[in-house]
Amino acid sequence: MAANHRGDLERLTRTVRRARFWGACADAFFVAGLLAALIALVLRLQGIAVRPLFFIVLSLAALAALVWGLWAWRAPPPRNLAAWLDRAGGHRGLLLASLAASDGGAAWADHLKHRTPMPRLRTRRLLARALPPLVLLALIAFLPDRAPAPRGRLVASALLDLAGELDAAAVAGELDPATEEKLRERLAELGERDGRPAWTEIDALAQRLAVERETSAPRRAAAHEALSSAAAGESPLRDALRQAADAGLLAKVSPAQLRQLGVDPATGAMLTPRPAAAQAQARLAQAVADAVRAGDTGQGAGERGSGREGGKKADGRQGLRPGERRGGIPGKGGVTRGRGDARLGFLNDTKGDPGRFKATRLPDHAPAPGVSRRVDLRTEAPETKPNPDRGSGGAGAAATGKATGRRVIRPRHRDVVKRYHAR
Amino acid sequence: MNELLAPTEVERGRELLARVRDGLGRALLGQDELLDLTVVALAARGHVLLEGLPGLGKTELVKTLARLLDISFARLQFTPDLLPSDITGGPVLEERDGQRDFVFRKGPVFANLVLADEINRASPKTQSALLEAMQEQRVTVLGETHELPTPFLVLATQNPIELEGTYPLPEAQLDRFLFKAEVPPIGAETMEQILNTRRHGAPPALEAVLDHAELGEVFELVGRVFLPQPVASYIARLVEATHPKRATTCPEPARAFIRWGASPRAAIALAEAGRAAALADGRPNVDFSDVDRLAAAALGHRLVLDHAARLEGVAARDVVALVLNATDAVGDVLPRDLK
Repeated sequence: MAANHRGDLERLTRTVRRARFWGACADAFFVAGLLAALIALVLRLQGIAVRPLFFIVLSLAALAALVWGLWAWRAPPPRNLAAWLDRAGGHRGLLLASLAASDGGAAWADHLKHRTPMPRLRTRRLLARALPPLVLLALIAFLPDRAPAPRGRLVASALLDLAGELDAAAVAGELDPATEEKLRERLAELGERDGRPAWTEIDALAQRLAVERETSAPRRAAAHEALSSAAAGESPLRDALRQAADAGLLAKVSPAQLRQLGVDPATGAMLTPRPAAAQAQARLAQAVADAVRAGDTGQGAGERGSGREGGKKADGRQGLRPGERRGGIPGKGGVTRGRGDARLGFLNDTKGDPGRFKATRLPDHAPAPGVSRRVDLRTEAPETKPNPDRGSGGAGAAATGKATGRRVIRPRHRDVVKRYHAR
Repeated sequence: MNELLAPTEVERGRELLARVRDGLGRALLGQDELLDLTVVALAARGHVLLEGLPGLGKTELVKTLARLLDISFARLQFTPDLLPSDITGGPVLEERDGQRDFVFRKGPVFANLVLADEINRASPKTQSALLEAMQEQRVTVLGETHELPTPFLVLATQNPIELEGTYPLPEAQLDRFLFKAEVPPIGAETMEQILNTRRHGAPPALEAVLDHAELGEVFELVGRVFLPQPVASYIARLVEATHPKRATTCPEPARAFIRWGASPRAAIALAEAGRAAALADGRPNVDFSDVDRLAAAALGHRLVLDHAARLEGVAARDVVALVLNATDAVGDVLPRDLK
């Protein structure tokens, strides 16, 4: 075979390899680049900073293109290339035969010379595939930065739920004003934070609210009882006022009214010298208790302004009941599920004799008193009579089918049985 | 590694075949493609089934070929009452030296060139008598095997019309023919030429242009024509693509028309025919173009077509063309970006 044809074959092999490599790179870059652009676009629309990620994804796309290109580097078998060269050159198989011949087809070299030289091959459409992802990535890079979202949708929903629960607790009077104010401040702080608040912080706030709701009620009940006892002259007024201040009951009364009664609104201490007479103390205690009760029923809400629900409760129409959540879904508003949604409280348990309901262990095999009675005592199996009302499934019923026919069917089941047998 | 035929050898082979081709061309006018196929089949030592309407020169072609070659020739007119022994020959009671004995008397099949005229008119039993002869070049009668002369070529004719009372050749027998060549009608110009040059349709007087030794030389040269591996691969892929149930390369339109594809014998036949065609063309090697040119004649009669092909009037030649179009000769060599 003429040397120039061997050179043609080597040149063709190189060209094909190069074309396959760059073609595969372009294909891989097209796919990976579009994927990268898509990811970058989504991240940008979410307000997530993409600069480092952008370059990482781009590098991965380039790497994928390189790997894919190297994988496709292999050229087809030489004989196939020779066959292509033979056809393209119009050799009519002579080139193939010369390549396979032991003497290289020397006798036919002149015939090969007169054939068409190898056609020029050009690699095309590489840029057309690499350009779209690059353009798209450039466009995404030029998109204006979007301010990061203050919080995710779930976090916002959780904070809203928490605010609803806080409102409900405030309306139900389960929180003292100081605690409520602290909780509201914390809630506002979480809501206004630039970065997304951690779920642990939200959970901690919710837990704190729950604890406050659990513990404030007994304290308030105890303070109420102490005030009642002081009004009845059974306990000292000073302790009752301090308990009321601790439980936040005094905060429900207007400070002016408390000062008028001679009580410090903040600490519950007596502003005036202690009245000597027990009756005077009892009257003062009664007055404070009345004022606190009046504050509980919402008379002082206008002055205090304790939130939306407090205002609603003041008009006596839209207030939520204790433990009731708006719309049955915390914080969502709308129709409630009524009292079934209320929290259960065990604060007013009866103070009956606990020994009355003391459990007593019965002797083994003893029949329950008043329920069972011994009819007979025998060693063999008892004879039983079939109960027609119980059907064949009853104890001792004969499996004759008659029992089934005599079975009493409840009226509301009769239609079903009829439909079954009518099928 | 192989050794290619020398240019002088190729030229010698081409010149010998050209003699036959020219002789045939003088006898039959306007049938160039058919004559080329006949010469290729002769060089490839293959049997040919000629199919065409009456009067187109099928029988004349074979008779002319017999005249051009200095080899023995026998003609068999197939009829429904023809018996296998009428072809192969049979035992005859003979008396020699006062003793009577059965002696095998050779039938007309014992000739180098056998014309089986209107082969589809004989019964299947008689047709099958040719099976062993065509494939193995021998005849077995009463347990005794008799070798047929070399070369042994059968050129059969059949009529595509007047099918009443005929027996279509079974697939097994069709497979033994190298080519099924359709004899096309000739044009008015050719007919005018025949009228002007022939009296009573008699062909010109021809002399033998190839003797037995030269024919053997042609066979020897054909056997040395080189078949490149990519061309062999192309033939194999082509034959495989005729199997709709087995090959994924079978083109979708052809799938509906083919019931059974071509056998490996078809691939062998195509390769041999390619060798002969290359020598007739003056080349030391087979080319893809040889395969493309001969595929219809070599594969068409080996395909068992589905009823869908008959309903839509699709011929086997058309199906082969579909397969040829769908099969890439070189294979997937160049990337799509490289033009």
